[in-house]
Amino acid sequence: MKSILRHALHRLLHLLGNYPAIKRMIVNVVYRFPALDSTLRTVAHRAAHPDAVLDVDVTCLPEGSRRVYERMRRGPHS
Amino acid sequence: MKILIDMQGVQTDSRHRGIGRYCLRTTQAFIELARDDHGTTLLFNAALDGIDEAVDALASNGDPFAHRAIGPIRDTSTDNRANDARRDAAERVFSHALDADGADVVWLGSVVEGFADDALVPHAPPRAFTVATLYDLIPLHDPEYLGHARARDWYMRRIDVLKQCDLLLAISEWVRSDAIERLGIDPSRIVTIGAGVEARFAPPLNETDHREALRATFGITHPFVMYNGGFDKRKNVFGLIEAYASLPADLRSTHRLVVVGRIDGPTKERLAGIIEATGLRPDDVIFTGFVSDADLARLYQACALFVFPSEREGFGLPPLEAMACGAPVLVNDATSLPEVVGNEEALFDARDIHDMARRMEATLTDPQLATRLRNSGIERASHFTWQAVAARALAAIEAHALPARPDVHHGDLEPDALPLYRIDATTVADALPRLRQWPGTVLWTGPLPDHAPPLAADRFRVGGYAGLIAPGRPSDWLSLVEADAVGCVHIDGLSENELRVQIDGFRRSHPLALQRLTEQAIATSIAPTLSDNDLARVADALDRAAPMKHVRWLVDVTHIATKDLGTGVHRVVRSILHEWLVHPPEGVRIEPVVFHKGRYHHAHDFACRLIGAIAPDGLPGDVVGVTGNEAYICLDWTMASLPSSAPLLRTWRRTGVAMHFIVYDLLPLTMPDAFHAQSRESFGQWMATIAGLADALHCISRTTSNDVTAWLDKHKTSRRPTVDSFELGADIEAGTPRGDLDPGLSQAMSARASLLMVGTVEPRKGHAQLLDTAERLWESGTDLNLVIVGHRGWMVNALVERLQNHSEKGKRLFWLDDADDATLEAVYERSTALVAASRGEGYGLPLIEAAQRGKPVIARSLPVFREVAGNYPFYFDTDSPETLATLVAQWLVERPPSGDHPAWRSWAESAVSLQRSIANARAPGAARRPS
Repeated sequence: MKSILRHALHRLLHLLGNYPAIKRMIVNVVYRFPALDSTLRTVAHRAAHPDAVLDVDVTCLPEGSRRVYERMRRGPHS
Repeated sequence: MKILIDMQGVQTDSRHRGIGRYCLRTTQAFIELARDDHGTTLLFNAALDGIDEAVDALASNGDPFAHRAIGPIRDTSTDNRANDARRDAAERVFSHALDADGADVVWLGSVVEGFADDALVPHAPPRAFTVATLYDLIPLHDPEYLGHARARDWYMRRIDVLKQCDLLLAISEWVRSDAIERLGIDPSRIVTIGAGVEARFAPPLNETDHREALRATFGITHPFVMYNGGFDKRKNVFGLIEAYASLPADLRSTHRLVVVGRIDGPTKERLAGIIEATGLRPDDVIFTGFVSDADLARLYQACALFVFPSEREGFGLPPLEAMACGAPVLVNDATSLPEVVGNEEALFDARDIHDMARRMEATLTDPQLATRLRNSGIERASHFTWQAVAARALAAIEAHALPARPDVHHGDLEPDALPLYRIDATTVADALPRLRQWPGTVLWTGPLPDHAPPLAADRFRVGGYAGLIAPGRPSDWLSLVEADAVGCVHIDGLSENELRVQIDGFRRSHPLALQRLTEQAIATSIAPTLSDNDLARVADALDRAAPMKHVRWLVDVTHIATKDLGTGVHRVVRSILHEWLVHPPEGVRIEPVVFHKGRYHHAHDFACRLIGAIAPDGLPGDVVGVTGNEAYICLDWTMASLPSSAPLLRTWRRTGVAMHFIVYDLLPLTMPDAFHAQSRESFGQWMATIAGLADALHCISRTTSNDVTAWLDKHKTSRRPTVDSFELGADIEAGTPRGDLDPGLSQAMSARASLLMVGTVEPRKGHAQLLDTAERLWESGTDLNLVIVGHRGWMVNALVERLQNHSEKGKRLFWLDDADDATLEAVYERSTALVAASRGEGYGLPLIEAAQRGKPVIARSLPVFREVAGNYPFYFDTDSPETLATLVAQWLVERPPSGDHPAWRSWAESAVSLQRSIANARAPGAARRPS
């Protein structure tokens, strides 16, 4: 899911969380159509929890790995 | 001894061939043989496939082993020049991974990988005594294999690795002799360990008839001559087809040639050309493609003759398997094959097609010869077992193994390049950040500081979250220094020489020194040519190449950290995690983690909030990295996040992280009518996912444990986690204030008896039945209140309408759908009895809460209520409101005393109980690390 769409959906769900009556009304309609319910919930879950990223990249490293990276990028100890 | 086995041979394409089978079975037998005297750790390559299958296969015996995985560093294969720098870096990381955990013996399972895949060989000889399995040197016999310069360089690099090993384990006498002759290996450094055959390859049981199965699966309708193996030129399948074609016509008309093995399109086309050129009909030769081991055994057992015409073999597993299955076997009289069959009658000269055809004809037409070959094959095969192979390997290792070489280092720089830090009590605080960034050897002089480290981040480094709320000690300074130093020498009173010896010792053998040398070598010669992301992956692989010093339990709190819903599940998460954070299991760091934007992050803010500490700036770590010395514990309810996080958790499992999931109930599956279709489907998927991921499932009651076991029995998953149960805590949260009740409710509860229901209003909870019951009691003149405390749930529109429009609403019927803990406390105090009318529960916390407050309980007769509350409640077993009304009326008159109940645990005891379950769970492939 594109991040802009995911972000928008995430905000919408957050907004709905503040209006439980409206949310309940939507749920009461949607659950009668299991396929639609399943699709919307899957989309909602993916909006809140994007797919796993399996490889690290330079912008997102554990602390120890970050230090190793910086040492290797900066060269021998100075 | 600590023995580390490189398992890449079961990961590359080799896993589909003899090398993969050999590597896996030898390792399995070795683990079993060595379990009492040695610790075996398996090292996988995370950039390659096959880890799950190998770990599950090896764990099936139940013998303990540890495993971990390096990387992934992808795109390192030799066939592409663009990979050269990455491969160079990756090989240095691989070398470090072999050295870093202090193994006594390193066993390279197969070094002939990595030309077209991401398998690695060590950049330099490991420090430990190094052993390699030698399968063959066939490419040195046939220049065609090494026609391309890169292929030649790749292979000769592997030959160099083999030559540098301390001991070679040859799979046949022929391979051993060949290595001595061609590589000049000292005969004392190469031992023949042979090969084995699995027990599944055995003669058919009496009256077993595979004809129907083979016809249905492979379209085999005639007696057949069989071949199984690869399709390299040396395998000589072309020659076999020619020999088959030259059999007498009547023999050919009654026998098909069945060729078994994974075959690519171009090869099959070439073989089709030969079939046509030799005058055979296309259906004379049947290509099965890859077959399962079960089908392979059937084919061996059913064939009239097995022929193996290979020109060169290091061993020849297929003829051995065929012999074990009772097939008459003929092989080429070359290389290792004669020593496998051990019978001159079973040999032919494959260079002479007519000789091959004559032997085939003789065997197919002479029943006595076929019987002799069958019998001699079965007898001969019985001598080849994987247990015997492992025993020869272990004996050779034990006889030859030497202490690790202290003077081997992988960098091109001398270890003297590492810095020295002179530190005392006054400078230690300022020195720590630089030491952390540029590790070196610390020379400590003078006494320790007279105070503990003042920075919260430093206290966290020493003692985890518990360190944030406990007073530190001056000795914590030393712990901080030692965590990031290449050794710490207390120099007071040491002579110059003694100091030099200690410093040299640290610099040559300290794991961090070895890592720094690898870093320096990469920084100098390779890093400038790598992209930022490539170097990041190399850095990450290097940092995680050795297991972390302390055990960590990574507790998933993804949902509660975002929003505490106040549910029963979240109460369990809060209570147990609080206990673990404040009183962590001995030797274990508790680290709550959240899955966010595709990665797991440390949940510092949540953890600090939970223990009442202020989250300080600068707590180390954000993204979570794992080394294999961790357990992942899914304490939270993760149905929404698991579909996204599962792929990452699978990589953790491959790295050696033990996987534990808490199961609260299976109600969406056992009571499907009480849940939305989508919830049932999602729950089913969640259950299937955790069954495939988990090493252990910990259930909150024996009832749930039984449900989970039944589910696993019904759904035959490829692997089966262990299942156990632990008891939840039930101590009343200290200091919960008693709130004020609405005046109407307060007055009503003072005026008459009150039945209380606690729990979400949802179909299975039995609210409708109890409302019906109350109506009948009111009609009959019984004066009582029905008080419901619980949020509105799902599929209860009609019930909610009834409750909201009921004539007794606000008089004798009350629904508190947003009560806080204080209000609940007040309602408990004023109520007459708790009614637990639920038709299904994973536990039954309200029963215990009521009992602890001295309130009687009227409960449906569920196994889980009897497990949790014993004889304390007054039980009913009816769905009829009339019958229940009679029982309640009777109860209100008689007020029978409550019975005995089991001893209930505190949350502290519950946390210890779960902690024991986790520690005791024998995670397949994630056994305790060998000491």
